[in-house]
Amino acid sequence: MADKKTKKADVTGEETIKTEQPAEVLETAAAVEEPAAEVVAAQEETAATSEYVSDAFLEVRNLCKYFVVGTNFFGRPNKWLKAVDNVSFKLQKGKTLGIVGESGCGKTTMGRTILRLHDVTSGEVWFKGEKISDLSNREFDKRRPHMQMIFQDPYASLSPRLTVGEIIGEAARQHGMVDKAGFYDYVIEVMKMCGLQPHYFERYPHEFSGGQRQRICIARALALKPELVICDEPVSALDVSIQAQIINMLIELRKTLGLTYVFISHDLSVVKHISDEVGVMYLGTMVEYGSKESIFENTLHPYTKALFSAVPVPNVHVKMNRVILKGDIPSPVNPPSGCKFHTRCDNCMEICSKVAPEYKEVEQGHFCACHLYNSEEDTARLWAAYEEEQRRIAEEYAAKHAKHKPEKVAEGEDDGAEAPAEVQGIPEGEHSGQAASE
Amino acid sequence: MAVDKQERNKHYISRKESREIAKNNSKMIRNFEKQKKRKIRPEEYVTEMKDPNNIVEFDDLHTFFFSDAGTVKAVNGVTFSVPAGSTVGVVGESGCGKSVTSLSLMQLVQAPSGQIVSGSIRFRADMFKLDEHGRKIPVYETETDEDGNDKLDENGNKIYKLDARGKKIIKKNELGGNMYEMEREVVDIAKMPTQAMRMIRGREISMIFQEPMTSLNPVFTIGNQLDEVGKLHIEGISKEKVKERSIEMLNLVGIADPEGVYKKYPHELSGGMRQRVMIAIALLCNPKLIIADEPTTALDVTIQAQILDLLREIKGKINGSIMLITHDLGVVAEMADYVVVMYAGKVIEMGTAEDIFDRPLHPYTIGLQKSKPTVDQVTDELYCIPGFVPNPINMPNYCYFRDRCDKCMEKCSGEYPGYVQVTPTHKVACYLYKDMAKEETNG
Amino acid sequence: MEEEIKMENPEESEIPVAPENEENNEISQDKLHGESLGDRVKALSPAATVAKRFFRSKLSMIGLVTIIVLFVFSFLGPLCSPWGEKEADNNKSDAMISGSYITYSVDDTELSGEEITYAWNRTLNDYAGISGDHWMGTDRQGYDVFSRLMYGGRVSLTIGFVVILLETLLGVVLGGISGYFGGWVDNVIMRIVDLLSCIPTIPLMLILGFALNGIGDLETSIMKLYIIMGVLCLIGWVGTARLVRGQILSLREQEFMLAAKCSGLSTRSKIFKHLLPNVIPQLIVSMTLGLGNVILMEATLGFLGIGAPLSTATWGNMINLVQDMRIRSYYPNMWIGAGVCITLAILAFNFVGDGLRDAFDPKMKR
Repeated sequence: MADKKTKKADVTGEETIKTEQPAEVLETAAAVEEPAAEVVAAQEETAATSEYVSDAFLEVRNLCKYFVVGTNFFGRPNKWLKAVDNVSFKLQKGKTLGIVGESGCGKTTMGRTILRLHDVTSGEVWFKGEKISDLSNREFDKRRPHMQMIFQDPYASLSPRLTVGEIIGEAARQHGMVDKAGFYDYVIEVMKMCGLQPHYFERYPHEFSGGQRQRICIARALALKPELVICDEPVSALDVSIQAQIINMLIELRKTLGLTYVFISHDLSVVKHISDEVGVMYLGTMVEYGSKESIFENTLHPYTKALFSAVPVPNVHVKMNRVILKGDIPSPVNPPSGCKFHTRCDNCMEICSKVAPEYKEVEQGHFCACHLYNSEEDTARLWAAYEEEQRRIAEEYAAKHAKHKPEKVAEGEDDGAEAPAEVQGIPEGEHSGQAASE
Repeated sequence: MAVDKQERNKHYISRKESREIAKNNSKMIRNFEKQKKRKIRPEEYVTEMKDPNNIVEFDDLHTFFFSDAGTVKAVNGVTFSVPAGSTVGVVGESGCGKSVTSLSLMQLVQAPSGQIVSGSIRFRADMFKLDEHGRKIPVYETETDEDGNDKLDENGNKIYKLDARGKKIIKKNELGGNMYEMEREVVDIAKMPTQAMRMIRGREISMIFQEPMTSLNPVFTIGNQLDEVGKLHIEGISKEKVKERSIEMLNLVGIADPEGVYKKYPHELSGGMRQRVMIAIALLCNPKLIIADEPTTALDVTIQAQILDLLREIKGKINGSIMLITHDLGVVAEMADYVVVMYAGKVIEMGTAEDIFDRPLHPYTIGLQKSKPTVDQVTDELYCIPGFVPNPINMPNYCYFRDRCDKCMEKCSGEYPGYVQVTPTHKVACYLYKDMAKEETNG
Repeated sequence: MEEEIKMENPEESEIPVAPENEENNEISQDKLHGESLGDRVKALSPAATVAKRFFRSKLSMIGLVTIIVLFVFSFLGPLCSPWGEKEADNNKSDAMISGSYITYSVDDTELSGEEITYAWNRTLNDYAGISGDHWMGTDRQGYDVFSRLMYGGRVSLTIGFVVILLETLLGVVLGGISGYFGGWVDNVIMRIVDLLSCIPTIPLMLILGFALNGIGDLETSIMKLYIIMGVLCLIGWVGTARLVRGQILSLREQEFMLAAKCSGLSTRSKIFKHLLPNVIPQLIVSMTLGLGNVILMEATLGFLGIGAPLSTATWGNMINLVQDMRIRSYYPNMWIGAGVCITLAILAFNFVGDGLRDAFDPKMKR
């Protein structure tokens, strides 16, 4: 998230909007119209399964987070950025889930949405058998100590005008976990656990190097005795030799404190080292998910394959037998229709550009969203659903506009049948995607 | 609280110390600035290369920053060279002086606090030949016969082509600019006046920066920014030629729609595209050396792969050298022919890429390689180098890595280790290998 | 790539060392914390960094010294002065020469002649020139100009500080609320800010000045000035509010605020411990720069004659004398002092403000 563009939301101020790639946001002219209907649909779906009780330590079901990036004249949102789109996973206690993806794939947003640092658009988050996505803010604040986050930038995530001791212990004191008398000892104990010297207590963050600052961040999170820690790229801003220290420390702490991590990173090698399970995200959706072994040994999705081969290996003899992806990551505001990866995929088929693939269990515990692993009947079913959907949209569109602009209907229909949703009004990709997932 | 005041104040500079530092700084800065301001004659900075195959030689370079916290010896005696036509990777962690080394080469060290204190940077440059008035000497179009030889008049002089007004026409070079008489000179950039340096910056050496987001000016189009560099460095080039050249360069860096991108503004491009544009700007004047300062750090892995591929491809096309500065060993392994490992302002190990990656010697290099988890092997616990990367202020005169080294010996408390030539291409600054070198020289 | 190999002493090289490359993962805890190299580097404490940057700039030093001199001049100076603020100098010795035609006899001869009497009278010493008694002369009422300059400084500087403090307080509270809570609160406060910025200051003060004259004995009391400046505060906080709101809006998006939210900190501690301390540098700068403006405003009021009653010494009132053509032309000693003081004060505050801004700015490298 190198470039963040923030803009005030509408009058309710319910959410601040972040666009991760302003360049492309501006570039793409096509607006996604009326996804509100879709949001409602997703919510209905959620409501339908409300009797469900999760048995996992952390479970995310169909989590969506859309940011409003454009509003019409009356302040009604008409353009959305689907930062996280229909992501589901289960995580058992003591395990580590690694989330990999490039910038703008929504991995950070997902982490923040789980911790309710962003409001959930739709979907459910279950934590220890409790649906935390529905709790009121006040209720949720009481549970915050159990779920902590370590942020990417150790320079920006420490309050510059508080001492190290205060930064670490402040929240614990407020949550009544420690009284004034025991404050110093408590903080010192946490600091020792994180490899910080006691005399740092009264110093200010700016006096420390990146590695030490990240230790302070970890100490701040651990001071609340959390069970779940979401690590948002905790080592990517650090030097290599310091990275290893921090990773080892995180692993050590996981053992001693029985922590569960969601480890978000763009660095595959780090994710491989620390995780038990790995999820690969691309443009807001999970494209592959499974145990570390299954993902690394039996890579299914072409994107994951390309990602793996793109990592430079510090070995001079392993050279250049890599899949170099063509093109840039598309804008999440206007993602490609069908499979979001089809624009860069070497194995792109006809169906890929039209129909979004299903996210399904290809082998035991190994999920993948790719048409390559469809059975024939799957493909046929998806095509049928797609054509049905297209017909429906065309009819609706025709009914809506027949009175005013009869000749434009035909045009829209043509476009809808052939071109991906680039310039026409109907967000074909979204609708077909929904059709596929239903 | 329980931390007593003395313990705390130990970490802060006292007022007295601070005053001393300030006094020393202003004295040093004044001296260096004075030296820079005086008129420098060409004889002072024209030198000779130690090895004619090299394009750049850093020789015992010291670049210091006179900061409020003390003198930061960012580059403290760096010696290495860039052979022509090769890629040299400079690796190190933050604060090891790798960027300052490259900035010294461009004379872009932030003055007045940053100064090249001593040492030399020899660079083999094509400089303009100057006449007695200090003006460039143009090459004129001459009448030639069928074989391409100059026709001579009866006195044995060349016959010049004349334009409509009877003036001699200046010959155009391959880029479409005016041709001047050139001479190949070796210059010492550390002693060169800024005026002369401008002829080298951008034309002979160009630079690609880490942040493609901030290194392009947001209010000009890509085309404007490319053309500007072209017009500045290729004298006498026509407008059409500049545009042609710009688009050619955009094409060269693999931009699919160069005409379209030419008209766009930087914010309309993605990070990868912007970095491609930066590379296009760097290539515009056929530089002999490209300094790539963390060119892919801000990019995604898949885009990084594209850019690295492009850099490799381009090096072959332009027949120049690349000085690649990065912290990522993987990138270096992939790109570099020679590797220089830096730590706290000093070169601790250097050699060919095979030397460094197959037979790393310095404990720091070994540690760095082991501490990076790799995709293709599983380890239970990562090796880690303990401690922190030091800030090069008040460095002691013993091996800077001693405190973090797991092979530390008694000898390491002695003075800073000198270089040991392990093989003809491989050098390391560590006491571990003193004996080895001796054996080799004996046998 | 040639480099001379430095050979070490022979006895040292006798110790056989085999470069062992096997993994040595056991790092003692001691070693992890051993940072002897790191300890060699001492940091500048945050206050020292700012002070250092500030004192490096010559202009801000000049400004600071000027401010101190002005303060000493205004607050300690009157203690040494023999003249009070409204103490007219009635000690002008005027020689009264009166003559009358009288007849007198000398040696029985009657003569007539003039009798001239010299009488020494004490009158009001007004329009006095520069002398040892009155270093800058006296004014129309016979008050000592130099002493009034000192007393005037008291009023002008005090008012400056009070007004700025009030403005900042209002601005921080309202701007902070607006920035932190956002939504309709922000909208309401920002619209009020917009409205208040529409009010033209000078006409408002003119009207207010004349209106207040009719109430009680305000016309002759310095309270009138205070009331007017109070009203100025009420419309002057908008700048500070905008500044604070902008700062808080950008700080709110910083990762450390996310971290604070993540730890479930209370709103109060988020605002007062995490947000506001980060706005303080900008506030100090804007306050310093604002001080000059308030002093200028007081001078304007005085010049227009609607501030403090004219008998009260303020720098503005002293400038007011320029309106009298005779004084403007023949008695520059009465008003030049006040003018110089105002200029000096404003310049000094601006220099210090600029210096502070540079000192607080982390991006400044000079």
